[in-house]
Amino acid sequence: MAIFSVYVVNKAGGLIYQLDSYAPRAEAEKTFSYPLDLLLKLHDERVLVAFGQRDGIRVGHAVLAINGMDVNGRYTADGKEVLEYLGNPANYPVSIRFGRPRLTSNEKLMLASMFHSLFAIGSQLSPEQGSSGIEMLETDTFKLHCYQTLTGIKFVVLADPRQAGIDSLLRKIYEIYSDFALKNPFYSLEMPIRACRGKATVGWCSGTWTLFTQPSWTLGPSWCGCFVGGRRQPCWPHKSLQPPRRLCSNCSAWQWC
Amino acid sequence: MTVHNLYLFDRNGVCLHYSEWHRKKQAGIPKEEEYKLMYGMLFSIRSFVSKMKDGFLAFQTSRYKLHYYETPTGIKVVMNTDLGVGPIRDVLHHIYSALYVELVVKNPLCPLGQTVQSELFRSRLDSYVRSLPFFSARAG
Repeated sequence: MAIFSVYVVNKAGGLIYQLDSYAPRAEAEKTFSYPLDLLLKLHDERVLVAFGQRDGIRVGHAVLAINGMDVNGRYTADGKEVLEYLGNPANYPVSIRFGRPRLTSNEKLMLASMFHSLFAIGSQLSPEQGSSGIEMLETDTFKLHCYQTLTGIKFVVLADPRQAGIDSLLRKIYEIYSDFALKNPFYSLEMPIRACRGKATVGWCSGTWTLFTQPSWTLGPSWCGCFVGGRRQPCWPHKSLQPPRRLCSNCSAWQWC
Repeated sequence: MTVHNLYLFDRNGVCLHYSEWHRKKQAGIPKEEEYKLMYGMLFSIRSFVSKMKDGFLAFQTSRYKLHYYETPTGIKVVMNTDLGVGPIRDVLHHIYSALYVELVVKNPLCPLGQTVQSELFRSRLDSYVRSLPFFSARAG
């Protein structure tokens, strides 16, 4: 998938919306014999590789699974400590899967605030007059695009480096934000966006980027983006037997998932 | 297309070298503070990027582009240019290997970990940057 994630940051630097599309994670599973030639350390309730990079296993990768069973933070699936388990020669040979650890919600919040400050510093350290903040950040594996509106809201998109058309996507997300969040009378400004409790994904429809939203299936009247008969209506109890449909905000057509 | 300025940092955050060619706006803070702010910003961007994936290369704003190159020993070469400049990783690598390593590291009289005093390094670096294809001498 070309778009990895979307973040919306308010003017104080707080994360108000976050969306993660599926991204292929680089994982490596190998069988090891005692003694383990990687140095593992405990950090932030996860077991990370501190030293011994080789064969697709990089420093900073976390232990994801041992012998096919997912680990739970620093404990294995049966409740034993991972470091203790791997220190015991009787448990070998063992197959361990390493990969980049998934970001927790807390970490995403911290990263959003960090980016908010870096955006401002980028503008302050500019050697030219009238520079904006960081609009595009390039790395080996992704490109981060940022669009700051006149009201201080930042829309941040992480995408593949070769992906084009992200500027129009950012403008479109701004449009969708003002349609779905700002025009919602129950939404408080600068607060986390929870307007539609359904899922949303970013996709390509008829030559442009759009947001596909799924209507909320919760009971009772709640504001959601359901377009029934061309008008917005409160979302009354939907039959759970109905197949899920997605609304394409570009052509406003219902699409079957 | 032009080069605005260039910073060289070591692994401890000491600014080893700074030169500017076309800089229209100063940061409004003393130079020492500016070096520390720049180093701090790069350090934060690096840790931000490493949380997601890794390998920070460059960032751009509406007016300038900052290119970044870091060696395994922690030496950071940072160059601010115009927006029209593409990836210049090899240029920054050349600045490190052919200029910094040859003229400063291999010089027994140049103490490492401090601002580079070598006039030879300064003049060679200046002539190298001026000879780059994307460096134009116009003031605008």
